[in-house]
Amino acid sequence: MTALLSVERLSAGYGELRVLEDVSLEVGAGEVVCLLGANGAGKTTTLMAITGVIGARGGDIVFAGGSLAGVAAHHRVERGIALAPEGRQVFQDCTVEENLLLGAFGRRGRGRRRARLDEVFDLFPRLAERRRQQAGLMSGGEQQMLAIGRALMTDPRLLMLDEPSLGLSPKVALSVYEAVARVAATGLSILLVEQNTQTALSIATRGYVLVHGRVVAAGASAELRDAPVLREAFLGGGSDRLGATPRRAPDEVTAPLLSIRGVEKHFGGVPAIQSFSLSLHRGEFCGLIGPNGAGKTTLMNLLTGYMRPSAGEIVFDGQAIVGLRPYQCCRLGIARTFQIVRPFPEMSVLDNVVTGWMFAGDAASRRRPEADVRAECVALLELVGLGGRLGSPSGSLTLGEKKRLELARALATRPRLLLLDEVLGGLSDAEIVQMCAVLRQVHARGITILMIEHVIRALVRLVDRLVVLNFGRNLRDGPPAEVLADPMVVEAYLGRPLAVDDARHPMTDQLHD
Amino acid sequence: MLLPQVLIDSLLLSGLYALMALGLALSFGVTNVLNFAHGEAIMLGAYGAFFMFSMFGIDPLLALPIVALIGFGAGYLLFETLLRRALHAPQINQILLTFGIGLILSNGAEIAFSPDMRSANPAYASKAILIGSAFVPVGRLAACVVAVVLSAALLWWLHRTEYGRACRAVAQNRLAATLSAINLNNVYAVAFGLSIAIAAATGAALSSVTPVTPFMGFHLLVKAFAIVVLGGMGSVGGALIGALLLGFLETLVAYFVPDGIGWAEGVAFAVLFAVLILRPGGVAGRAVHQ
Amino acid sequence: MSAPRPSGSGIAVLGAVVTLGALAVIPFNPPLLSDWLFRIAMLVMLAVSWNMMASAGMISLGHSAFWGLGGYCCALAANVLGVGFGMSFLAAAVVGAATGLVLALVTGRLRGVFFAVATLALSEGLRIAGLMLPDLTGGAAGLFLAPGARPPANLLYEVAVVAAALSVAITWLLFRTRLRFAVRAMRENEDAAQMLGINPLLFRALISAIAGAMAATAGGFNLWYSGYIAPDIAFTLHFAILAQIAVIIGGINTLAGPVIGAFLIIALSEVTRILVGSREGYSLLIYGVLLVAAISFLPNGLYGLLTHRRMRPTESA
Repeated sequence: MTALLSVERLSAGYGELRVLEDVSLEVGAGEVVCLLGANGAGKTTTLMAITGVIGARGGDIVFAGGSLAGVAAHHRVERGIALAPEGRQVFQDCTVEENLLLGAFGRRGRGRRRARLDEVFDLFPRLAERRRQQAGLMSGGEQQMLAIGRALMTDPRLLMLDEPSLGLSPKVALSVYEAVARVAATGLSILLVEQNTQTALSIATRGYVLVHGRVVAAGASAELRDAPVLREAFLGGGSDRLGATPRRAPDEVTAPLLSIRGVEKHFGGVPAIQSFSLSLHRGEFCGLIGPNGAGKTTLMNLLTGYMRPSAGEIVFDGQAIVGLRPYQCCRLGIARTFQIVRPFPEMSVLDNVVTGWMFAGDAASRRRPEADVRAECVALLELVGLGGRLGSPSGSLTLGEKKRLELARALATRPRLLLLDEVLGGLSDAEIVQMCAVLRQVHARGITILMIEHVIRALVRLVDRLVVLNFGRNLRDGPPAEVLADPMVVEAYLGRPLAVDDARHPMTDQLHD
Repeated sequence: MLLPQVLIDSLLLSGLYALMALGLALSFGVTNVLNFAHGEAIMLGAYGAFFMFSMFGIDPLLALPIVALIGFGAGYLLFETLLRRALHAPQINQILLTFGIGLILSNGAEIAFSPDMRSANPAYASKAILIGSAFVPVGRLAACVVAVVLSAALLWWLHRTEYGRACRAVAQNRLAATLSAINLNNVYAVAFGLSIAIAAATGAALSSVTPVTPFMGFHLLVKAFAIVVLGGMGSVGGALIGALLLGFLETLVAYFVPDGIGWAEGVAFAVLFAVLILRPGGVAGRAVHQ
Repeated sequence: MSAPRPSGSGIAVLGAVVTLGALAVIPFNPPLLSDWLFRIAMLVMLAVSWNMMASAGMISLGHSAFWGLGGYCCALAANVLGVGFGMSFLAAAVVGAATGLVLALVTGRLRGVFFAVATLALSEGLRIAGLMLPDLTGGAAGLFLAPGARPPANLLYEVAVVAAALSVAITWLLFRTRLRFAVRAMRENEDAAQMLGINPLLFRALISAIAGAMAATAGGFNLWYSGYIAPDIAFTLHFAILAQIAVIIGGINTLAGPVIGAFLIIALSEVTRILVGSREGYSLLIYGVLLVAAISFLPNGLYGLLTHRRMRPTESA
């Protein structure tokens, strides 16, 4: 059998960020294949590269016997490649029917669009009921159906689905998957990316496991289901090069440095953080993990004044910080790095860090002679291993260097609490080893660290404590080994196969669409 | 009782304002580039209609389709030659680029057409009909009707035709538009060309109502901004509401404030400033913060 | 301005030589030259002011608001309060600074296009207010300076040259402090800047106030030069546009850029005057072409070309 889609040694990424390395996979005609992996493993990037929305750096994508190299994204749709993207991406201000008809905008979909419209309505009766409804006002489940329906309207030969059950209640997710199964039964080829691995493997015949932009395992669903490689892909394992942390005992006697009590954050009624509480003691090194969309970055924005909680209180070193602006949080001693690095690209590396020093801390330390400040900042850059790049414009650094620069810049603000948002994301293995060593030294200086991370295998070797965030709630809090062994945590990451009785599961009752 | 007259005057004004702002909202919504030369396109449309009237005796409202067609071609070309390369440039480049184009057009017009005030005066323009106690100037009524018809046609096109829907789709979600086989580059250029065509049509409709001068565009531009901002940036329906609001406010000021006719010209600026500060999303409430 | 350390003993010496040269030449009443120097000086002040705001991410399209207010301030101070030539500038600077401060505070959340539109509205709003408040401004007829109030022309020219040099020097001094780190950080990534303890509103207000004072002072010079002011002169965008173009051509976010640009613009305006007469349209048309060409082909300006600065990486909009 010749494959309908054949991805050959594909490399791709965004800007300087290399996400995919030598990824090869195939989807045969009429086959349902799933692509599994943790956050940031490169699943969405793979789909985006197949659609042509992002370009390939190397390798080739062959579809229906022809290479897609140089074929524009909108022409690939005409060849029969459709994607229901992550986050649904419906046309918010258009009606359901308009959304669907837009799917048939291309020549390919246009011919039989009235008939296809009926087929989609047949598949999702809900959409037929709501055909005049404005798409942006519908529930998440309905929007997901609409996104799939719109993709089907293009008359595809290959349907790609990116996280179709993300954020849906098990009941709604189930109905979405029933529809997907019906589509699969018509013989349409499907490439599925899904957070809930058990569900994905139950619907797919084969699967690929991505770790860090590489395919680490491939095989029939039945083989993958219980393969240790799958669990490792999500919750880490192996790799001894990372070393262990010389622990520095946290100070549990005095009052906690950071205390979060009952914090809530809603976006237009949709809860992102729900009654979240957490106390950090001085000197703690705490990891914060959780699946995509769990609210980790939102929490960080709440702690640094970029967002204001809807309810609850946050006390830092005895002072309530709700309502403070980010610059005020910084002056109190909270520093953060950003998930997407934000260096000042036209400034030199050293000036980036000097800028960090100049406006933080107390007035006396701010007013130190510039030469002194520069010396301090050079020392910080040496700590993170950028001592040789002082004069380079920071825009010219590699991603790994930028992340270390951002760390040095955050340290220059003389923080007592350091918040790190995926500081290891997108780094090569060697860079991860290097960054971990730097973080240990930073912690050894007495700085309390709260670290969001997806590279769990590295994280567990750094931290004394692990907090799991799921659906905006504090799911589990404890020593890393115990937390990762907890079936609840495993389930939050890997999902459970969807079955009807899931709708009554106590934990998932809290989910919304 | 002044009320019927106020109502009629503001409605006549709003119709033209709506068309003016729709063009601006269309190009901003789709391309994300705010066109600071939009007023100059209106000015050139007005001159086009004026010259067709004075040289060939063509009624400005009949000249309108011709002017709009030329406007579309010119807008399309302008986009392909200068603006496409600025699509992903820093905002300051976009602002200064379109501002510079406006400067070239207005001063080019001054050189070519002289700074004199012109006006196309078909016979009906100076007539008026009396409805109850209110005067309805026929010229302004005709211009307003044309503007309303064109606005309605644009809305119909945006909602009922495939290409129109594609324009809205691009404005709402570029990724999803690409995944629906829509060629973004085409849509950008067509939407920009159409926006200039609408501007030229606005000018043609205005040519028998207000004096045509090389620098009329700037004031119209600020008013169009005020309307678009008032209605929520890039939202077509909001622009209509904004046009009605501005029309009423200006007319109210003109009637009820001492020296109101002079102050009415300032209403747009006051409104613009107030809305930008109080509600950067506009009254139609679309978040625009980047 | 954006160089990590304002490089520049060379430029400083050159600037001092030009300034002193201008001051030495003016008393000899050189035909035309004094006039040119005066106009260059005014344009330098306005361009430096515009560039300062742009360097903090505030793109002003209504710089004529400051310029016009400065003119009216000087006129009213002289006519109504009987304040002399020198002190009138103080009034202009104070009002300009206050306007800048209010503009920054009021538009606090606005960025990019929205700020640009707000400045445009401010300038146009002031023009209409000027027309509609004849008791204060003389309305459309405008205000004439009381006869005998105007200083000798050469004194005016000399003071203008000194003021222009001062505006450059103030910018240079200001950007030797930590302000330059704050301004660049805000321009390059405001979210990240805040997380380093930088209060954007504070720095924007400071920059806007200083720039407002400079532009208003430049407007004051224009008044003392012409002896007459009216809303359509005060709030015309003409001179503000020249300032923008001077900065773009000379090199945005640099210290020398606005100065180089101002010299070029005045030189160019003389050339066009000789070639096509004094009709404003031609010169503005040419400036428009220059602006479009500079934006499209020379994003770093001439100063950038001279110093081989690397291209600005495109910032995401």
